Amino acid sequence: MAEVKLTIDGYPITADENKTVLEAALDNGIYIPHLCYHEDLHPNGGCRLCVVKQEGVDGVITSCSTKVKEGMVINTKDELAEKIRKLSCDFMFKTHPSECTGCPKYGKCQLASISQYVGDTGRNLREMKIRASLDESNPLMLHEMYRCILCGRCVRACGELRGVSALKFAKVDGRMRVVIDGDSLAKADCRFCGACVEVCPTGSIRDKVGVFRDDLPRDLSLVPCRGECPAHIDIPAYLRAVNEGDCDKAIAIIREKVPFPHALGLVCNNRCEDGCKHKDLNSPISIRNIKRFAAEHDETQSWKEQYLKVADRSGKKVAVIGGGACGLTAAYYLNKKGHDVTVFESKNIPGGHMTSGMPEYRIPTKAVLDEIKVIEDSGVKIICDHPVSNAAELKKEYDAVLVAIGTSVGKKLTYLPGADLPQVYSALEILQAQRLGKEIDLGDTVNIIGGGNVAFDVAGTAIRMGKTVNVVCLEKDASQASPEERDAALAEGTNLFDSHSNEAILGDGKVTGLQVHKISSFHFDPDTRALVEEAIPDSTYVIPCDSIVFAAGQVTGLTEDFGIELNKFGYPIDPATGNSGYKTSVDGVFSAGDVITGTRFLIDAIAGGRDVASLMDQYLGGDGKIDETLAERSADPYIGRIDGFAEIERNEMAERAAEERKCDFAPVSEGFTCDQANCETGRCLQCDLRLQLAPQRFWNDYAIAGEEGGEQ
Amino acid sequence: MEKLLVVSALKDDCYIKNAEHFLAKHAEDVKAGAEKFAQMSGAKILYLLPEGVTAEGLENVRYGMKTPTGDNPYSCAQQLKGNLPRPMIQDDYVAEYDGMEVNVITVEGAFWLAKGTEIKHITVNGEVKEIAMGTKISDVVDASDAKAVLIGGLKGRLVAPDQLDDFVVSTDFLYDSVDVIPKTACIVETLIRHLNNVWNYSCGKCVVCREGTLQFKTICEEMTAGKAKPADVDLLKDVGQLIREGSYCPYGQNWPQAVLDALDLFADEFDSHIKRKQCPAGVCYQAGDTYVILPDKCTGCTDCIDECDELAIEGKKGFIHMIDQALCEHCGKCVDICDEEAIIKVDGKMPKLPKKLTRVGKF
Repeated sequence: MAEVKLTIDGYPITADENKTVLEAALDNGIYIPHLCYHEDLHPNGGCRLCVVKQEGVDGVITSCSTKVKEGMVINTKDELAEKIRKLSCDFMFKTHPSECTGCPKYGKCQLASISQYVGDTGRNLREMKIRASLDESNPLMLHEMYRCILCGRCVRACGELRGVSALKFAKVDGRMRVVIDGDSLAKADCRFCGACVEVCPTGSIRDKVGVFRDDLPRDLSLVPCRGECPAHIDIPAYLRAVNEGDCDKAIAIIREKVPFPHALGLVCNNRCEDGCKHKDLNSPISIRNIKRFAAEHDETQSWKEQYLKVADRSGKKVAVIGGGACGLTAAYYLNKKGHDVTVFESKNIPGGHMTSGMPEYRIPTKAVLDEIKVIEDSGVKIICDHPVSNAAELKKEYDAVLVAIGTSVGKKLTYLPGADLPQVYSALEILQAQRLGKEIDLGDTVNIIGGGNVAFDVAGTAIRMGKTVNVVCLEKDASQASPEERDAALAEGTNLFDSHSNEAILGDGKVTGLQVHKISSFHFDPDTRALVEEAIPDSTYVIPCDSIVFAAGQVTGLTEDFGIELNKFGYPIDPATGNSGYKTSVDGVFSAGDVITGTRFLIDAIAGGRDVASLMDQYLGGDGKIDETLAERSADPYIGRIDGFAEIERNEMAERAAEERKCDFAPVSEGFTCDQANCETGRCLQCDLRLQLAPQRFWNDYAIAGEEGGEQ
Repeated sequence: MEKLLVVSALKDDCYIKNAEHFLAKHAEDVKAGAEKFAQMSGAKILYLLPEGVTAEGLENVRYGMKTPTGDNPYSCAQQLKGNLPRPMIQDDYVAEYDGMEVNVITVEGAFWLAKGTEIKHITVNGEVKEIAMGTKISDVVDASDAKAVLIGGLKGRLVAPDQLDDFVVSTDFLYDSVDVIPKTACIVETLIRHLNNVWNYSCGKCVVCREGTLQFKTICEEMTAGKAKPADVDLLKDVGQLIREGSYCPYGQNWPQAVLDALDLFADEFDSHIKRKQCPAGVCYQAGDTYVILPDKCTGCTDCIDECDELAIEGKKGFIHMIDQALCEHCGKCVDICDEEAIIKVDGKMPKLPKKLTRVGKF
């Protein structure tokens, strides 16, 4: 590429011959006012603000659409050019609301900024306000086209850049306007990428308030699925990869943030979907199920070579106590950063709740062990059947220790009469017994006390063990559980006794029933956390059963003997803050995951593992940087038009009938078909494309204009 | 890239009907010229005609709207894509349609290519004439009864009859029409009709043309409603010149000239409309647009002041009331309320009115 030399406002400038005069000026910090120009769009030439004087040429030239030439002498402050700019500004302001302070774009408006720079002539031109009303009919974007100054950036972004053309120019009552090409954005086959909002210099097209969070950095806020995911997985990028039929790439992208794509694809509580903007159009993208699809179609595992690469050995030794999702995640990253990591697992199998705290039919052991195998292949040593009794003692042999034992002890409501009978279990005891093949005496009928998701996990498990299952809970309709999990268990034959309170477990040496009464309402005292209920008089009766299972939460099971300071509930505390955190009372002993947060979700444990690994790496002398790129990103911004895009319904996985699935521990669903995965990923609004667009800049962002200041 | 030659018949405006004539009388020649031109670059040919015009013997015909940018490749491509026309004027710019590079030849260009450049088509008072090169415009129209002559339609000039000798038809003659404005016409009213068309034909792409046409049309309309100010003449001159210099395309660079010409040639007539609210041709201020209070009949009773919703009537008890034309909405309610029949619609000539508050009987 050849370069040419030219002079702009007396500054000698060298520029690529393909650059325009405007680009050459801006690249060199010389501001020329411009409005219809946007660096990602084709030059337009319509706003007349970028006109400049070229020595030897009559009149003015349009700098955004004139290429640089050798020896050009440009004067951006030419008298005629400035007059034309002022005229253009005068004209635009006659059509634009005169009051700026009420505008939501106040302070971020390019028109206001330019007019401040260019100045006003005070000419007696006529007011030409545009008669358009606020259009709030779309749930994501709003249009206040009476603020529009017709730079056309939205129309060009939608057409040229996206290939969608949901916006167009039209004459309304003889006046040019930007309009939606149809009765609504949905009818215009808008793809809701937000490019129009991003390029609008005024407040004409805006995101509705509340669509994006304002407490996150831009790259997370504008891509809400990524923002809501605790591990900030690059969701739009992997959906795109699946859509392109490249599941290996999708898994590579997911693995940049989490080492358990398949496990998450099966059981994640998908908070990403709560963020998905598509929920406002009809329903969110089925992100979790796409992740599962990718994991189950990741055939060549092309990411593996790079994934298993580790840094040069640091000579530091790390012990991780607990081989669950949090501990293994931290172990993977610490090993990757060059430290020798040994994971101590108390049970005979690693994986924590993934292999022993959730039912097999939701998350098959093999799927988890395959993912743990990758972590082992990267060099992490896992020792099973090896409980650790004192973390502080262990620290003497290691440079750092991570306590990631989770909450692995099920709570029993010991105050309930009969709670000490032999057939009274915690939820975890049942789930672990089933997963690990241990004998357990449940009899024929199981009463489960509790109404959360775990209660229904136990219910599904007991049903599959051939038991009659009753779930007894305080909440009407078991509202603590997710409706899907509740309904699935009910369909399989679980009996629900909702709005029930327990009085006693009956039986003499052996459980025979649960004495209950009905309640009309209840709450927990905010101070004492004691149950306060409104009992229905004379409603006491007995639900016969052979065993009782408490699904009443889990605790760490830690005691003072563990060698680190604990709070009264058995959670480690950081004496610096008095709360649970990544640091403990012993230097070099860290804690993360459920053991500091209480029982949360898989993705929280993994995110915690990442964070603590970064912190521990820094403690061990590293830089703490654990982000890695396993797949190059290539997002085609030209997304094109799809008929009826906004109306495409969410795909749901086909599930085995309840009658069939309740007979075995095989997965309830085989996952998406290829067609479903393709369709579902195609629904993605690709919110991340918006980040490709250059942010809007103002005159004081340019060195030379900034130095001299605006005219007014 | 494959090439597409668009033979455009869209460049005419409301004054110019040459393309229709070419298609009706010389379709064969246009076709021959287009084919000759297309052969040089191996381009496919597409005819782009104004809605409602048919042409025998032409294949691959599409329709669009007349536009001053009808010879710009991007503008034609936009119309072919179903969008409103707008030009793109840029170094090395290649307009695309359907994966093809768009080039444009006008029907006149195609005709000249086939038949040589001996004849120029000019629409004279609405009728297309074939005029030999070298002819003076003064020989094309009878301007004996003309107040002025509009040469070149929407992007042309307004000239006095005695200037017509200066305009001689040639291949680089910029004007495709000649329209005589009769002596009886009001120049302001003529200009308003003209500017309405100028505004309608503005594609809206560039700010100064889009907003300038609307401002000019509005300000001239105010001149016939008693709302314009004397300073507006200088405003139009100043802004008109800047629009000429600052517009994106030749349309915007040219249309203000006719307005500037009119302001020069007929300064008195504008003055009369603005300052005296009087139309020398007796065309404006006639359609019941202007109400006045006759100073010899007004008794200063304030009935009309109370009646007026627009607060457009000044005055107080015992003083001659006056209507502020800038505020008057012409509802006529004051006429009905006045027992003295002192309020009338102006008929052609504006009666003499007080300029400041005057006691009844003292005017």
